[in-house]
Amino acid sequence: MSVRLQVEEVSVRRGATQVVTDVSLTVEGGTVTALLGRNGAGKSSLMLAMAGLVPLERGTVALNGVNTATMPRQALARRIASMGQDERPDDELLALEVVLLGRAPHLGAWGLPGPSDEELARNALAATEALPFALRSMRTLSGGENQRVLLARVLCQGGEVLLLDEPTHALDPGHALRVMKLLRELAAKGAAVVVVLHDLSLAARCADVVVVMDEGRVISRGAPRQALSKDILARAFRAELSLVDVHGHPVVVAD
Amino acid sequence: MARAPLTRTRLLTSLLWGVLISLAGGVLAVCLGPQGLAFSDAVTLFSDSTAGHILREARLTRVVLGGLCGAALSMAGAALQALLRNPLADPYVVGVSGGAAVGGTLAVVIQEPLLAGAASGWIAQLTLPLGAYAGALSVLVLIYGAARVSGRASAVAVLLSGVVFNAFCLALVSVLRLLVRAETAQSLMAWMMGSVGSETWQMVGITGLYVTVGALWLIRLAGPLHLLAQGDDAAARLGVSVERMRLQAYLATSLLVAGVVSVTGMIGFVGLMVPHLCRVIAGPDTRVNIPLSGLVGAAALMVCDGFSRALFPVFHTEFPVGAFTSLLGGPVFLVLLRRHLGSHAGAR
Repeated sequence: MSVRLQVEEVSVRRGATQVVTDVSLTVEGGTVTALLGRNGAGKSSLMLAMAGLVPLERGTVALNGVNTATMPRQALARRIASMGQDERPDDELLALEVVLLGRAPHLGAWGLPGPSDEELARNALAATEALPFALRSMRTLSGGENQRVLLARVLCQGGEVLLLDEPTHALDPGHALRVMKLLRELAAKGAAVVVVLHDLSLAARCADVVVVMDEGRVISRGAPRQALSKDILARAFRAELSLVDVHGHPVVVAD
Repeated sequence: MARAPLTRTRLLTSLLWGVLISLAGGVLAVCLGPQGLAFSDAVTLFSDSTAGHILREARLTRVVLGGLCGAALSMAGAALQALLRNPLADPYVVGVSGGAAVGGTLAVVIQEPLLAGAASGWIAQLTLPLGAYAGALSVLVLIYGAARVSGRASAVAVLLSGVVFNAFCLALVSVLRLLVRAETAQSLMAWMMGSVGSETWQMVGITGLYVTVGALWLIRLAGPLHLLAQGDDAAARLGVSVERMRLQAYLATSLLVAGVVSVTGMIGFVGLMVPHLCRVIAGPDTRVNIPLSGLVGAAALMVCDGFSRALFPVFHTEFPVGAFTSLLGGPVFLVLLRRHLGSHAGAR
């Protein structure tokens, strides 16, 4: 059965601020969904809600029909792998050690990895082009390298649902494109992938579905060419933007 | 030699080294004293009725208690460094030992007018650690609450909280001492200095019980603690029930600190220096650092106390091991603080 993550009428409050309001969304296995919106639109809060990392003020998140709030934390982590916007692991750890943390939900209480776990970690590092610095400490890595290591940790965790908050924000265009290609390959194998992106052209090019948020609410969703109309882009980003075709690919440009 | 990720073999090798260091520390500590002994002499003397009795009842109790105390404080330090995501955390520096001292003192003050005679000794042995436990736990929870900023207790916030709590705790203990009889106040004063001397096997046994339970509890939590050291959100993403694990780790850490502070008083900086040494030896993995810190910490305090005893002829009085570790730990702390703040300034 294909995996399905259903967000139903979810509202999230952080402190005194309502950051997500009545959002309903279904993410299917085999697809890449991009969450778009300006800073503070509620994308990261919605991602945290989908990962079960913040209490919901209202609504439910269900994985294949099971409310994730009722699932044990470790069982949920075996099925939903995620990375945050600004994660900073212990900077004395080696990159390989950080990736091996992804095996923790699959191992016993102590989470000691075996040879097969290390092989998975090395494969994940290879997939994100981070294998050459596997044995370097995190302290010595650049922002982009750090991000590719964290992405490798998510791959090593191996969930059916991948929730990635700005996985390309520190990457150069080449790495960003290859990461999105990798995510598309994972979706093709059945994973449900949700990414927060600020690069609208990358989102339009690589996502099957885009979800546009503004002030905590979803204001548009669907295939990129339909969901990213000029009106929606103006409302979401307070800027005159248009989606145009360049060599057959959708590209968002400023008017 | 290049470091590699932790595996079962590497873990067992590190712990084996820890056991050897601990045993060597114990043997050295037995031999150290006002009158030093060669190891072969110590073995011979053990079988002698009079000298053997002194060795077993006086020196060996000190060595074992020192070992328990060093193990407990070092494991607590390693756990606090993971929990607060701060390499400068130590039960003494962040004020948990101070909290235990206040709790213990309060228990003595409350029970003194209520109890008298033979029963008071027994009840004090039970209530003092309980009071210390409550004090340690309260301070730990307060510090975490006060110093926590966006999921990470910053170095400066933890240190400032620790300074404030320690000053507050010491002032409170001074005030509480005014409320008890003169001889009780004097024994409280001696207790606060931090010493592992003059204890019976019975007291060593009670401390051993606290330390064993706390140590096994923390070792069991070492896996989740390693994930918590990566941040609360990261730990939750990787399957840790953060609040439940954090509460358990606080309870276990407080048990260790209270168990030893209630007997030995405040012994500072062991919980800072030993985990750091272990990080240098075995890397930053909390799963190996917690048990290894216990073993190396046991050796460290046994040997420090041995040197304290050996200094008796110099000062013509007991040199408290707490003063010895603070003299050693203070400069180490400053070096680590400078390095820590330097690396963070570099990162910015």
